[in-house]
Amino acid sequence: MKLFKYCRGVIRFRAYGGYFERFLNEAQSEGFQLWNIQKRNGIYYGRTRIKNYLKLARLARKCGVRLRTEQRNGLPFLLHRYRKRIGLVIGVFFFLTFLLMMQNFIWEIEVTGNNTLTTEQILSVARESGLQRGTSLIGLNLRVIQKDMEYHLPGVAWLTLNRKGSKVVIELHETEKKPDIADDQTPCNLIAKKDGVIKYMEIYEGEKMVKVKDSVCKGDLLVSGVTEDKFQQTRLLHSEGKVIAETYTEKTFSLPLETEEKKYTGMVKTRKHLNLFGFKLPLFIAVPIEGTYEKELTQEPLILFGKELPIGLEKMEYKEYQTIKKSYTNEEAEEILMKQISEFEKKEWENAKIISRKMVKTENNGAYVIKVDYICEEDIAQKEEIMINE
Amino acid sequence: MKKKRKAKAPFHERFAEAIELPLDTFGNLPQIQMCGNREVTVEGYKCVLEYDDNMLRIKAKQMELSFWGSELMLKYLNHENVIISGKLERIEFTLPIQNK
Repeated sequence: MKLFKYCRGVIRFRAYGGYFERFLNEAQSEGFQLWNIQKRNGIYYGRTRIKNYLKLARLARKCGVRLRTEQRNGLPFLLHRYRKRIGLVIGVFFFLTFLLMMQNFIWEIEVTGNNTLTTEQILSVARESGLQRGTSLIGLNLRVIQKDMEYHLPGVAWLTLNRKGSKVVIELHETEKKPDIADDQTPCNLIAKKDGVIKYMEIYEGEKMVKVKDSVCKGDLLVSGVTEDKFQQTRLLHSEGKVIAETYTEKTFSLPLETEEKKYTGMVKTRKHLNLFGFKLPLFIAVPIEGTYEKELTQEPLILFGKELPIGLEKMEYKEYQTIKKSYTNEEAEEILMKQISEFEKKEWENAKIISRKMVKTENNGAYVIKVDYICEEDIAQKEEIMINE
Repeated sequence: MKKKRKAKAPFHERFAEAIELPLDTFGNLPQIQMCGNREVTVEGYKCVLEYDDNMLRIKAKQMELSFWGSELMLKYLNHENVIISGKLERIEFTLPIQNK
């Protein structure tokens, strides 16, 4: 109510002399609103709306009451006072247009529902599809972007883009991985994956095609899935079994004795960009940088009320480095290579037995080379599906 | 000599009394609502007769009301209602002389 009165403008007046009661009653019958009428020290005080004040003054003269304005209050007076200050009007206008303009940009992108995919991954796909912070909302078809993102994101069951004002929420659900089902139905053969001499066989299903102490080549059929029973009926089986064979493997490991290594000199040059909705304004003078540098980019968005704004600083750090040559002695190289070898053995023959290893150490073209000949016992059986052509 | 008749209440008042209707049904009397001695709302007010800072006399339906007190203020006025605030001490009702 008070705000309402304020908007319409209130005049506080002072009245004295004449017939005040008559003035009051006539004002009432004319329908002029008066309130807070008080008498202090023989002077009447009251309030009225500005709209009525001129007519009220005329009425007062008729009743012999002298009316004086005490205080003007309200929005109309304020506006009247500032009517010549065009800057204010322009400022308000610009502020409103700024607000309107800013509504047409995406200020925030939120990703929900991702478990294995990282938010950065999704955001980068979104960027490629044409959705990022600062993208204009005018002419933006979220449906198309959604389709595009669904196409480019692997392992996503569904994905939707919801716009809430100037914020876009990417909601998605990832596909659940199929559990590994042990396949023991498809007919298959067992073939050799390596050359070797068979030491020992353990066949659970299928027909043996080789004997112990046979030597086989890579790709040779070891166990056949096509069997014939005594009624000469052909049956297709899912062959399974272990064929342990003695194999021979040759492997060379080498390490150049002289390597180059990066060493940072500690010289860091920083160049800043002002990032305004994707437009980058350089805040430096573009002088070419000499020497060898490594770039590193850091983003420093402006944070307002805990929300990242699409305005911020972008720092590009140029770290100077020098390449330094480093050389190994033979002993050091051997130590490094031995480590590599043991790692390789662990990875390659986890379930196999190494019978012997022969190492030949040489220095060749500035590199330290270890040649290892392995003889080991390992399972060489490999399943191969039987293709049936009808 | 004509027998002087005792002034009777108007018919509708007698009727209302007879069938036990509340008195304010016909709305020909002012309704006065008071909030302690701070504020009085008078419905059925007609005009202000006299206004001073310690006395206020208003005309209402069928009677005149006088309020005595200090710092009397006409808080709100319109063609029917008036709100008076201040520190009230006394209220007086004056009935105009009928049948002149």
